[in-house]
Amino acid sequence: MMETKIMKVSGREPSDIISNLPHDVIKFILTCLPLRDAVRTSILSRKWRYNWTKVPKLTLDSRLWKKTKQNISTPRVKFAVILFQLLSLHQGPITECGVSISDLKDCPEIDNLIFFLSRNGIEHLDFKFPKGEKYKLPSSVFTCSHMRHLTLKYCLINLPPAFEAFSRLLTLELYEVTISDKSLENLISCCPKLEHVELEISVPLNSIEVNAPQIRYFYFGTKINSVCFKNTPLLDYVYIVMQDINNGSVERGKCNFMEFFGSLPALKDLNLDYFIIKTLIAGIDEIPVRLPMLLLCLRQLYLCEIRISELNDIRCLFCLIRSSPYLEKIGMEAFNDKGDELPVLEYLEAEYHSDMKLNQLTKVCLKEISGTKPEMELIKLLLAKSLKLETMLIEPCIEPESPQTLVEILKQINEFQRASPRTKVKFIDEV
Amino acid sequence: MAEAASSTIEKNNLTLKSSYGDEFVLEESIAIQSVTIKNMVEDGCSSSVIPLSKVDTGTLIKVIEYMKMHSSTSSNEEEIQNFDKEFVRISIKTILNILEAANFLDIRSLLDLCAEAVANRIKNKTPEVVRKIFNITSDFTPEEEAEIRNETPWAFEGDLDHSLD
Repeated sequence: MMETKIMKVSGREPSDIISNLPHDVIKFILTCLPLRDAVRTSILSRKWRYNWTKVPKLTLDSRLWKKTKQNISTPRVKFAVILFQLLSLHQGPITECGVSISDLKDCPEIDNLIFFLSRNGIEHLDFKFPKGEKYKLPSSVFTCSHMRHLTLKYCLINLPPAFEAFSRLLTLELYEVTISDKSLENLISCCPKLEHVELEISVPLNSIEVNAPQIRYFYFGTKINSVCFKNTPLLDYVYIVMQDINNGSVERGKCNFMEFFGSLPALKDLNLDYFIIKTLIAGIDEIPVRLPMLLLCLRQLYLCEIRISELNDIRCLFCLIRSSPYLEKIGMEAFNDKGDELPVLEYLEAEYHSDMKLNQLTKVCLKEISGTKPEMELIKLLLAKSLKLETMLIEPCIEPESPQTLVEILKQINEFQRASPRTKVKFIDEV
Repeated sequence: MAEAASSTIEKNNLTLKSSYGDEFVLEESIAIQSVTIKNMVEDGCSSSVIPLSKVDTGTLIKVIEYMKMHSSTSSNEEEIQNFDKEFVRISIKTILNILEAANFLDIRSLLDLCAEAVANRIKNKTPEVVRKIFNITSDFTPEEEAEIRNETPWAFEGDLDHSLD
């Protein structure tokens, strides 16, 4: 039917099928195009001359300033020219802007762009600044009241004293950014709608308190002494890998192990490393058998670099297990620390004979297992106590000095009693 | 596929009428993927036939096919992705018709799908080829063209695709 219609209209020359579409539709098409392609439509015909200047989304990356046969200017010069032309030609709001200039050495003009965006309704900002000396983020960023997504890489952030709030911000992602504890804490607490936070701060921090009533996702890969949660009722994903901050010496954090979990009622997926656990248990007399407030939503627990031969680590693990009646998955990456194994062996032995049951656990994943006694006792305990266990995945790390060979480990595990007849123990081969 | 008028329609069905006068009965739950139709239903304007004077029959059939697939609970993500891929393997003229209809009906995902498909026909192409694909006639003089190229030379540099596909 449609084909006949075309035939009727086109007596001589086939008619233009795109130029007369509504402006909105043309804008949608141009928004789907890389900037270079969108700008090139300016030459199609008079109707197209300035269509591209109204696109609400700008993406500036090295594809725009790579050297060509026709133009051998340096990327730095080309970028400045492109930016100048864009700022003088663009009309109307820019809601989304991505800039990736990590390959440029420096770029003072970027301040002008940020200032321009801050006055044109920016909602989604994703900037990767030059590596090397940290770019100082201009304060105009903090006046963007429509901001919903903010991603920054390689920069220095000083929160201006006049900053009030990002009242609509949903996502905050900072990578390789320098910022102080106080600024970071204030930034987070001034975003009442914040749901998703990813932070990799490049300078060590002392402590932050996370106050975000809508937050659901918190990823933190930064050297820090202490992270506390306050008013985070919806937070369901927590990942904190803080790495060793003081080369082994651990300061007491601002909140202890029990307080840390006090504000995480919705916690579903927890990932911690050895170092944050260390700061959390520093200064408490004894790790409790279970937390004062149970983690009723917790389904997945992952502990990184855990010392299976250290009594405190194992106590923390079992405190979390006992406090999480609905736990389905446990993952652990062991770190082999040669110490006195006896206290841990006694503890695991006592647990083995206790009436503890893991009712919901279906999957266990153990990495870097070398066959030490505490490791084997832990495996034995988990197999004997998990009624619904389906898979136990073991990633061995056997070295010449390891206490056991792979075959010996296998033999031993085969003899362990299993509470669940469906349990399969699988080994992931080392590559 | 055309069906009789409103009197026989069950309560949760809607009748959509194309610009050619063909009528299509569709479950309300499927049709309200279109925000325009959803608003009509909420405002109580949908008791009889909903006239879509800007959407021809062929286009409406495609739009309904899309809405049915995307509201089906039995298809998984992969099936939907494959459907979408096949859906836009049609003439550029038809895609543009659907795109315009999706804009009028306010079906965001269909709009994105078609806009992306059209954009893919423009990406990396020389202006001459883009004009051919869409039957655009240039009304610039060579001097004017040179001026435009000079305005943003970086957009015209480098290797561009001369093929029509």
